[in-house]
Amino acid sequence: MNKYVKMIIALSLIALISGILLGGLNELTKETIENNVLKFKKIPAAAHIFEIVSGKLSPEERVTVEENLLSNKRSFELEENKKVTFFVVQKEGQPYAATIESFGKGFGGDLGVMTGFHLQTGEIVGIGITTLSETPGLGSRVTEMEFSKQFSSLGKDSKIMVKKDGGEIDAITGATISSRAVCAAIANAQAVWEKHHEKIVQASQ
Amino acid sequence: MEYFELIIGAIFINNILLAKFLGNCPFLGVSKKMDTAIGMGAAVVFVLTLAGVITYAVEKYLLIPFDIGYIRTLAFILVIAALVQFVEIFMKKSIPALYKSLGIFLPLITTNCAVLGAAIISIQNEYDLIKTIIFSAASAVGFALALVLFAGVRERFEISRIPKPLQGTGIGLVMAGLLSLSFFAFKGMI
Amino acid sequence: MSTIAREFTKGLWDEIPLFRIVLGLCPALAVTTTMENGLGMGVAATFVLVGSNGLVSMLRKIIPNEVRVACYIVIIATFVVCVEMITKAYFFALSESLGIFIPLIVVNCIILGRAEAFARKNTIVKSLADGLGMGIGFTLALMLLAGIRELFGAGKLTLLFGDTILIQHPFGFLQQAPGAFLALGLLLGLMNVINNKIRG
Repeated sequence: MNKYVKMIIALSLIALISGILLGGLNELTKETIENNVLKFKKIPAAAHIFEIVSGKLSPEERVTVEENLLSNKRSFELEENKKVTFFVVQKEGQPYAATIESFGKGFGGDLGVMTGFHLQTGEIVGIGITTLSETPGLGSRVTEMEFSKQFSSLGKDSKIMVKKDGGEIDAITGATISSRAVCAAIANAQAVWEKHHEKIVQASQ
Repeated sequence: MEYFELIIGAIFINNILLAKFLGNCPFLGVSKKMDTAIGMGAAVVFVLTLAGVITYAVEKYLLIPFDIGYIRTLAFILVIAALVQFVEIFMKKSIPALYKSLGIFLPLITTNCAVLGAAIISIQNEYDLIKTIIFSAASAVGFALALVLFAGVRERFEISRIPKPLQGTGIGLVMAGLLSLSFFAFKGMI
Repeated sequence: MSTIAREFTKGLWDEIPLFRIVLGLCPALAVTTTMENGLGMGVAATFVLVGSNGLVSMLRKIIPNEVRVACYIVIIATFVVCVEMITKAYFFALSESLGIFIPLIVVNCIILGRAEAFARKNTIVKSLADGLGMGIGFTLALMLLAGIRELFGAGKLTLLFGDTILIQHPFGFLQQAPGAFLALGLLLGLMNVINNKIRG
């Protein structure tokens, strides 16, 4: 058989097998993977906000809350073809706040923050950290309650900045960059809320 | 300004080789002589930047529209392999001297983690075309820089006395560690 | 039977990847911050290596010589994408820790190297043995390096059976980039010393 025909047949055959195998595997694992990203990265932060709103949870309660948040996830359209998933935090059984994830430039990379906005007033009810690669013991302390509770009950138009930059937030000692990143992320979330809050509130009902 | 940060970051702070560990195999293999190091460095800059552009296009016009993002690794490595083949053919015809001196290391650029790595990182960070080009080129320059510095150091210990077990790759790695440590100094820069 | 066993065992010392066959460095330096990551990477790479060796050997008479490297790449990449999907779905934490180094298994010189040097010239069973031996050797090498970096770098090491070893005053820098290079370099030297003593 012609040399070139042989090459083409061999390559095509291998490509075909590869395609079928991978396509099949993708179908099998697609949903699990999507849920994993939500489950491990975003839900814990949303649950943290839930705790800020409704009080401390026991480990069992936490599991239930996380499952509820996941199964009740909503989405809205950020721009054409770009859907954003968000979670609805409930208080006393009623939709209370919507959590939006946004990012700021931290010391070791992107710092992800989940901000909870009160559905009616747009007030910030609390924050949770989703992803961070900051210095352990310094920048990583932005996850601590001491730091994050400063962001509760801030009006939706308040200027979120560290004291060094003229704002009200106490940065973590020795971790100005990380603290600034959190503020920047929240500011980004505020911008999203400003622009899309009607859609978000509607999707939360 | 953002571009400047991107460049400084890619070359010094997050040096693709000394901080991100991508591109080690050729690093220890090619860096024995200064000229091969410079040649390899230049070749990598060329290939990596071009690869950045092409993989960007593949992602944007093929993987996303057809929702087959999961075969990204497969698609990218094929693109890179084909690209290196073309560069080989091109170089053989136009710069045969360089082609000869690089020898087997030219096709080995295909398996250089730095090329595939930088392409994947550009996608993960969602860079637009301009940033992809800048990031790819800067990363490659960082690689070339580390390579050339290392070759310089290595040429020196050709004539030093090194304990036998450490000769060759062992001492090479130790020196790479010290070089990496010196780049650590850039961490607080931005 | 003994030749098959030999193909398997050579990957465990004589031709152990990382120390004797100095390939596969990139992941070795990056993921060996904890023993768990080292193990995870080793297992993932072994899966790809065994799979690709097996398939390349199976198809060795059919793949035309001119396009063999392209075919190897497609085969290896296919296994790598499988590993990517499986880890993201069922071992999410591991996939996050190993990050970009899972897709980078596709350019791990060990795998392409074995396909080119061995699998295309040998029977399926021998190739599988070679792949398995090299894979396990690689995993052991990774775990050794990781164990040292974790114990002396982070100060504590939790062994598989639950015991935790603690060390006062760890060398934090072993966990960072320069420490990785240094640790591997010195370990390589040590391996050479041991090898010389054994092989006389």
